[in-house]
Amino acid sequence: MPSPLLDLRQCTIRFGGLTAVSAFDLQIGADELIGLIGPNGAGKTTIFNVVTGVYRPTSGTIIFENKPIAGLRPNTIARRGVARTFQNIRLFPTLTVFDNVRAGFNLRLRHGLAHALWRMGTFYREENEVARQVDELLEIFDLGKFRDALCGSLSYGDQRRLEIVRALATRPKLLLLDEPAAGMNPREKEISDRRPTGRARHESSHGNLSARNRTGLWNQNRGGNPGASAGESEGHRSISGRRNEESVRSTCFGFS
Amino acid sequence: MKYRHIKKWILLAAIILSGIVSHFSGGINSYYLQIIIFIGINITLAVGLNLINGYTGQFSLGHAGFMAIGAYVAAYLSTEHSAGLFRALGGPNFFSITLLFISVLIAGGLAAAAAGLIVGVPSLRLKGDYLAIVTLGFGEIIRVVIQNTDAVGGPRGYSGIANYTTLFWTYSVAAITIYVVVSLIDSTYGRGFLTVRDDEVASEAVGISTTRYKVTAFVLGAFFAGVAGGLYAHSTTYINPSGFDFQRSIEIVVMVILGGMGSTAGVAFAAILLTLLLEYLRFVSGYQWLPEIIRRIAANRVIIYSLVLIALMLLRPQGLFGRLPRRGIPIGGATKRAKLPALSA
Ligand SMILES: Nc1ncnc2c1ncn2[C@@H]1O[C@H](COP(=O)(O)OP(=O)(O)OP(=O)(O)O)[C@@H](O)[C@H]1O
Ligand SMILES: [Mg+2]
Repeated sequence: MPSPLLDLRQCTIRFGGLTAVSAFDLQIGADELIGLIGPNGAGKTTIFNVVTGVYRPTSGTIIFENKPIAGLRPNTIARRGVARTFQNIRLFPTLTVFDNVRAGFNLRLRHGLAHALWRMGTFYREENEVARQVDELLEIFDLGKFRDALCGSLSYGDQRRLEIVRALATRPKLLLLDEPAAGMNPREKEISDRRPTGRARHESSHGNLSARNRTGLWNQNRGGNPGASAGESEGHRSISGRRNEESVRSTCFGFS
Repeated sequence: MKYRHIKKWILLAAIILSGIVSHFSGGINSYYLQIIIFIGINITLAVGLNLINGYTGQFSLGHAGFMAIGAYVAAYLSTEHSAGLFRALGGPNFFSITLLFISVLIAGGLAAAAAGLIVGVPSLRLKGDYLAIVTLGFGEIIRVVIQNTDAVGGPRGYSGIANYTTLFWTYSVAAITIYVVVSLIDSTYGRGFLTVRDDEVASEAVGISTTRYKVTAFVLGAFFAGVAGGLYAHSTTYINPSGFDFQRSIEIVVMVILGGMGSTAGVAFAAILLTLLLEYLRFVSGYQWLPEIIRRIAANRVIIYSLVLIALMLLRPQGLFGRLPRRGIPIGGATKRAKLPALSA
């Protein structure tokens, strides 16, 4: 069996006296789609924060592509190939839609300070290539018409979508979406349910998102014994299958 | 693309133009010339600080400290260590002076940049007010250290500096500073400064090292402040520690805020405006026909800065040239929390 893309072993996170996540295990393979479910305060967001390096686990290991990543800076983990969205949307409010997505290309830049100042051929080639790819992504996700608008002027659903596009721009191997459908009205939800298809189509140009889907059922008693258990349930054949599953609240995609 | 190198051509044109104007500046009244040079120095200072405070969203209050380092290092080198260079190049001629002046300006800039690195790396973990306090403290420490260094005159100041600064040097440096900041910001790499300002957590999440960008901004801003300090020292030919005090730092911050925090053109214009205003107020404080109270206010720069800032906050909070971003979502913590569907069993 190939080793999983992400491997969380016995992860525990405590905030002072509060145990937010207790001895949590999670394996995500390439080509897998996993849903994390749990009531408010179960620790879904905290798991994401730990995987992306915002918090350090109190104990336990996090292995990404066979290397431990616990304790690395968030930007290093992002460079390794983990992208995420935030439950409370976090876009760059003074930047345009275009520049928000462009920020996702920053980590793969070959040029730095000196190029930006010297501004010769290679600089322009790279800038044009980035701009072309940003526009392509925006078109795929129907955001092209907002290209030069400030992201704050977008509707809530479009902002969520833009955040996903920005995460995809980093070309992640693992994509973590925190409540991607939260706060959307039914119509927006319908659009965002169509999105994974578009995303799969887009990603298929880089890798393959053939779905071998699991839904990690995760029950954690908040009050009593916080013993977490990650289970698997069959029956989510396609990505859009999660339309039926109202309670899938956070989603992880592993890209190969 | 046809206009690809337009920025470089404009830079070159600005340098040539300042050279030409400088060449014919002999007839200008020396008092006016001094003010025009101060304007150029202040443009360099303010545009450099704008990279830190405006574009990268940090709050540095110690810019005069970096300026002081550049001023003293450049002045010390050009005064005490020029003899060898002049001997090697056949005395103080055009060529040797040019070489000397460029070297000491760069040395001053590098010394300030090194100080920026030393102060920046530990303190840029701090945010907002805390960073302001640390940089403020740093500026004061620099001043006190200079005050107690006898080699550069201590509290008496350092005099006998050669008068090398011309319109050409001042405005070439200002043009280069503007070119650097504008070119940086207009690139995918440089947009990282803006994302750090907008949201540090989200910047990290897309792989942007917030620490690296903050330190880069700090070091670049310090470098230009150091060069500006060198220009200043070789313009006034006399410097003393109290010329680089807290008030001087505030003055540069006011220029940045006035210009709109993150608009290079605005900040440069604000530097011109404020320099002229402060100079004009010196006359006002001497007008005997004015009531005593007004003369006193005009003579007190701190009151003037406060008044300028209060008026600005009331009339144009985004600065004279800044655009207020339309914010659909509040930044920071309290974002609208989504209503979730009830969990079905
Ligand atoms: N930085 C923090 N400091 C202290 N407690 C925290 C912190 N972050 C999260 N918690 C606590 O950890 C627990 C898990 O929170 P988390 O946000 O991960 O839950 P969640 O499953 O994402 O919930 P929701 O469905 O409401 O988003 C909560 O009790 C929360 O109050
Ligand atoms: Mg959550």
